[in-house]
Amino acid sequence: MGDREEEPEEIGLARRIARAHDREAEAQLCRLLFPRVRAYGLLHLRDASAAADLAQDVLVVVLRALREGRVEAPERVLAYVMGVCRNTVLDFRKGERRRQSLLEYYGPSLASEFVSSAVTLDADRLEQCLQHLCARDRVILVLSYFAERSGPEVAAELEMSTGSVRVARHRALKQLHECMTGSP
Amino acid sequence: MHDGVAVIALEKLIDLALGELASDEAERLEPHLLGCSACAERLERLILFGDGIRDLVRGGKVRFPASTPLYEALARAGLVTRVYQLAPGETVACAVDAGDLYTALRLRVDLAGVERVDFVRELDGVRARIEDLPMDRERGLVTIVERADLLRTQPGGPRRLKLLAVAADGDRELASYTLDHTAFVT
Repeated sequence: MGDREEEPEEIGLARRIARAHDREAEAQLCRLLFPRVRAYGLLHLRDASAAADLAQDVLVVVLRALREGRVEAPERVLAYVMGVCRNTVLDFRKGERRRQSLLEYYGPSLASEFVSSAVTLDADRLEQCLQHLCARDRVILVLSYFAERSGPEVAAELEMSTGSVRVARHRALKQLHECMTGSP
Repeated sequence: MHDGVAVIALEKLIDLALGELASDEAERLEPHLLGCSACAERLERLILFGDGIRDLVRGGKVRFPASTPLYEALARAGLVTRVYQLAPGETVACAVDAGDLYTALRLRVDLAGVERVDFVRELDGVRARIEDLPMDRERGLVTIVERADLLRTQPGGPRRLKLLAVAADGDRELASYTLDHTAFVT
């Protein structure tokens, strides 16, 4: 008997929803996917509130599709979610939000559990971590995020090559990440 | 594990967060995010650093040397409320008020032939050094943006400031200045 990879949790939950409209499975799938879809939304929309809205819209579409048997293969549920994410981002960019809410499904207490699960940054800790960076890296981050300068613009302003700015920005973000989380 | 990838390397997530990955590679990594809570959380945190840094700068909580365009952007945003411009050898009286967010030190200096400039401040015998400052060669200026909240905690008295040219063969003093600080009283 060869090694058998364990089935991802999402697939088992998708099967339970498709088979029996299992409310607990729906809630568990939302708990798993809401933060991941929100991260995808943040990547594309660069706005934390819009990303949380996008996650709600996507999950409502996915849950409806599972309940109505429109996801042909529950083992492909993540590919289905990916497709819904891409379409929903396009809709958001066109200003065509569906305005669907997990409240319709779960009521305020459970829905607020998903929505309030956002990653939060400890501002005091971030301030300390920023001060630990070398001055040059700190000014590169301030130029990038506060002044919204591109890499080449930062390079021109600081008499650096674009490559050096890229390396410095990576190093600074890596150090901040390690300082904020305590892990490499 | 998702699509044969245990976790996305932090360097790749930083590329993704900065929008520096080619679109086909970004699209290849995106499905992994939907299957991996750890990577999704790391990415979210990296992207949110941008908002966090912006908020800290706006709140007067970051001390940094500035290029002239950055100093001007801060001034336009109403964040720099006091500016002290000093010529080499000059002594200037300075103070800080309850409503100040940042004060800017603009040090005049001849930057001809200088590859790197460091700033040194001496206060009560304690030296603090900021390395590799941005230079405005055209105007002959180096700018340091100071946090007013930290200045409000400092005692009154003179601060000796120096700019050093740093090169492979050692440091060379370019100019010195004195700020005569009046302690903040509530």
